[in-house]
Amino acid sequence: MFLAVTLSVSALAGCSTDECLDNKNALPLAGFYSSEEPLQAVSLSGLTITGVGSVGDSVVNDRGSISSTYLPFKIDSDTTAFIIDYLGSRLESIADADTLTFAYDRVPWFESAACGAMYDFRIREIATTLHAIDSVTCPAGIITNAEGENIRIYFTVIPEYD
Amino acid sequence: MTDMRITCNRLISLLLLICSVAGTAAQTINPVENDDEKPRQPTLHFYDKHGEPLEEPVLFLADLDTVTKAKSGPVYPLLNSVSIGVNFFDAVMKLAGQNHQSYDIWADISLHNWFFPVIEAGIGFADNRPDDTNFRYKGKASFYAKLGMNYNFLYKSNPDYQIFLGFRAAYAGFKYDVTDITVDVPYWDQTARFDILDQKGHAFYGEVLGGIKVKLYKALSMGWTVRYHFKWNVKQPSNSNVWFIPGYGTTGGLNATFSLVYTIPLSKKEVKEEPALPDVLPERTVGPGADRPSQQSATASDEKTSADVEPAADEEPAARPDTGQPANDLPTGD
Repeated sequence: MFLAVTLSVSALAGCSTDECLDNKNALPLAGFYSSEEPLQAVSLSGLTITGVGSVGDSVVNDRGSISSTYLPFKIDSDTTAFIIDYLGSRLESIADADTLTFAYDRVPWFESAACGAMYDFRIREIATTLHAIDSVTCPAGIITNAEGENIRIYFTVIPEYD
Repeated sequence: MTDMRITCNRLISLLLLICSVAGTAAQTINPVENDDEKPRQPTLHFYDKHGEPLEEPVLFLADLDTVTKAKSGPVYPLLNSVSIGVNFFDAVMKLAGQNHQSYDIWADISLHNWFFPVIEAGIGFADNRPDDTNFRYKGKASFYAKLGMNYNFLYKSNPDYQIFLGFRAAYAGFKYDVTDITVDVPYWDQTARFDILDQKGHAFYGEVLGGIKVKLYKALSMGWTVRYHFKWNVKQPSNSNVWFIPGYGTTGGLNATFSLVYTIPLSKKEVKEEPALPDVLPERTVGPGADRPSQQSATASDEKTSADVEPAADEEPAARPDTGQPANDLPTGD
């Protein structure tokens, strides 16, 4: 009987909490903010964000209002660039398209048996044109699979909320 | 008047003569029996084993302390035995699909069959390729050791059977590779394949456990434990989080062991047993009043039996002298 109890205990222990609660890859997630104090999140509508050199669709081609977007990095290169086009938005007549360029180190990382293995991106440099963008930051300096925003894009022109 | 005086004097003289004759008769020494062949008769007791006077003399003194207090101390000798065991629980779990194993040998020493200092040493390894994942975790054989103590609740019982609680403090080193990693980025239509090699680290952790041990045959026994473990300090490698720690396992707080045990006795069992009551009572009393005159004891050869004997009105027991010994030498069972 004690052996049965022991096996039951071990079975329960083995079945417990082996689930990935974060992402299974490092996902750069950029939030939109106004460059003016105090810090304020903003929403933009009509944006088109496209990866430079991508062969597929745009990252973002949404006529709706968005306050954040994923910016997937390349894994065969140490730099990735994106074009933010304001055509179709209120900024169309105010600003030309901006180009964001990220330079990073790819760091192999094994997170857990549930989440698996991936590349983390340790940011070396962020370069941007300044048409509608004031600045871009990565507060943590590294992008991991942790759920949540890890890049901030500050716009100089505060768009009107739709 | 003179006649009456003469008569009184004569009466007094006669009385004196009679008293002197009676006193002389009382002083007659009774003959002493010196018959060695005559069997000794039980003696009467006028005092109890603590020296307190009895209301009536008795032939036998009962042991007043009929219920002895249970002993709280150890029953078995200090170095009672040594046990050596082999834990092969993970071999059973491997049949159930577990993809990591830890095997160890352990040894403990029985102190009074009560406390059991124990040391465990073993190796652990892993080879895990979970479904729906993008890697293979290969843990190399790594050493671990544990030190602890068990407390046996059945310390007064047969040492072949134990129910115990215990604790362990453990150290484990680990080395592993994460290989066959595949990462896809659909937006860029890219796939990367790489390995994370030579990951090393170590861990300190603790365990609390409960278990039992039962005898199988002669010196062979079998033991089970269920353990709750917790990490104290883990030095992680540079490019990963360790998944398997030898002796600890993976996630989850519970673990178990299943051991085959061989026990080597170090001494013969010396259980203090209650001495049996003698078949024959001792021949004489010892204690207060033992040196008193014959009034303290009387043989049954006298005309009066022990049941009929009553202390004379003027024969009150004297003050109990402090001899420090019981009134009789009947065994007390101590």
